[in-house]
Amino acid sequence: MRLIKTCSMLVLLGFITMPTLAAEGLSIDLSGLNDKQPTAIVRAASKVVVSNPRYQVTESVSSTVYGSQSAINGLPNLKDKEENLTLSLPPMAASTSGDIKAVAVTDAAPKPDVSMLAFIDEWLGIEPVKPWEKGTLAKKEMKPGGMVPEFDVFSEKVFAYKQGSVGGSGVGGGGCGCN
Amino acid sequence: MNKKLTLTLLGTVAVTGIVSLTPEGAHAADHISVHHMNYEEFDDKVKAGDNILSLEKSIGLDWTITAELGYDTVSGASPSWGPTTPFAGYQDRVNRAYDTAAAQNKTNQVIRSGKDPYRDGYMIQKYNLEDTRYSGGVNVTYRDSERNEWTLGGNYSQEEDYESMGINGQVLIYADSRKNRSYTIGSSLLFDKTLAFQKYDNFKNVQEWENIFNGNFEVGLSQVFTPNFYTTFTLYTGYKSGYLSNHYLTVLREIDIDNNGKIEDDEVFLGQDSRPDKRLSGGINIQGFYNINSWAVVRPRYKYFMDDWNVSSHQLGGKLNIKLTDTLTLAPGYSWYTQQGANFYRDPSANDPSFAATGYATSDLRLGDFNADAYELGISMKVFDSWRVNALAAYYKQSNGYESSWWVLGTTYEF
Repeated sequence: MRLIKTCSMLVLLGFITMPTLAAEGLSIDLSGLNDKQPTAIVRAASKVVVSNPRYQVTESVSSTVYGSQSAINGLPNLKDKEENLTLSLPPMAASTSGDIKAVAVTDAAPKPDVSMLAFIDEWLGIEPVKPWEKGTLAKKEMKPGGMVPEFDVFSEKVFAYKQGSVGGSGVGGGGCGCN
Repeated sequence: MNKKLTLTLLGTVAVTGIVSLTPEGAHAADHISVHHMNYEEFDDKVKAGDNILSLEKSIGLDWTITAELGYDTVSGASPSWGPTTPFAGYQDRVNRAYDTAAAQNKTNQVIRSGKDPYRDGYMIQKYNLEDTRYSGGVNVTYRDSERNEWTLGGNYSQEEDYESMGINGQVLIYADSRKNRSYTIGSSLLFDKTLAFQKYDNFKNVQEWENIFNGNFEVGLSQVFTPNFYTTFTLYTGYKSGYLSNHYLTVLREIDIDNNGKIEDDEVFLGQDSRPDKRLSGGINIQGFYNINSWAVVRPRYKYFMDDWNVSSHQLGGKLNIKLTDTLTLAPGYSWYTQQGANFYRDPSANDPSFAATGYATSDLRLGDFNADAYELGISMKVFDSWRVNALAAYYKQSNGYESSWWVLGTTYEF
């Protein structure tokens, strides 16, 4: 529930700030929200950097507890929970003037963060799923082991015992005289 | 003769969750759980009890430790070829022993004691077995500043005639900061030993330890498609070398011990199950995870396997997760499997189940042609805030007549 609240707050803040930013003709690159380095904002042909006070690192604890290897489907993990960045609301006026300082393009610009296989997304028409849309994917029953991973563990043991195929269920595990 | 089969039920995926591209052990929180499985083959064959105690604990934000302890027992009777004609006397016993020694001298394969003077005297019989296996494993996962995961683990197991020691590692790398795609590379090395029967010498087959090496390598891709759907693709390969035969299984071999160019009725001998000392295998494993609605999740899966023994298989199945209430969840599942057998397999129920004097030979049904169906129904009930009780019943049937069932009972406490 708290995750939903946090996401709702992000959406709300987005709606609040959007008109202001739109009036200024700004576009925001949100891909760097999780980066600690300054986030670049492009205004026309010039590049400006927003200092961190524009953004606030807040603790946003989700009701969903993410465990080891939840990362396999890109779900937030413990550290992600702690470092979710949310836009700080006030002062709105200052956010478009005082805190924004025009600077020349420098090495401080965030590194490119595009997957080499990004073209596959375009081919397949995959729309990127946003972090705040991953609440369902984080459910335990959406994990490979399901609600009770031990059920799969035992089933896999029986299959390995009685069938001639081996492997494909992970690289862990000990050996036995199964043949 | 055969004291037992091997503790097949107790090993292969014994320390699951240690490192896995399809992380069966991907638990959502620090937890400790204990589960027991009772496995039983139909027709009064093998019975097994398997117990797993598992623990997952995060330390800070960057480290997670998982550990597992296992204790298993196997008992019952295992089917294998054996003689049925009783000894006619001391001289008959001596003659059979000398014939067996003569047969051993004419082949590089292992000939086992237990000759029957008549071809038709050999029958598939049940031999008592009993064994216990202890296993343990631990792995450590570290998350770097990009939240990529680096995992290293080790495992050990021991039973009376088999020891296994292994290490494994896995790296999970995100494609980009959106974290909708990740790549995984994993590998494991196992250094096992088995107590195998040796060639017939001095009128007996002694047992000696033989080494087995087992290396596995996997690469995986996980892709989020929608807020309700993602899949994992895994390519896997494995290489085994050393003693890969099943020394508790026997075959029938025709050996012309009198060199007359014909196989007489008394020139059929018990041979050791014999397989190549190398096995290269691989395949693909695809799993989907789809949230149908607020109370139903389906997890379809397809797996393909092939190796250089000519074994190949397809496995297709799926599991449902149906949330009946806030505290009660049902988990039905079904799996279909079809397998093409090894090129050195011969059906023990065939008109002529015997092999030549030399060459690889097995009558192990697990390496034969068959189809199989597996049905299961699990239930999980939350009895307190962080305490669940889990139960499962399953039934498995192969087209060759083999049937088994198992049930699981356990509990999980999250903290």
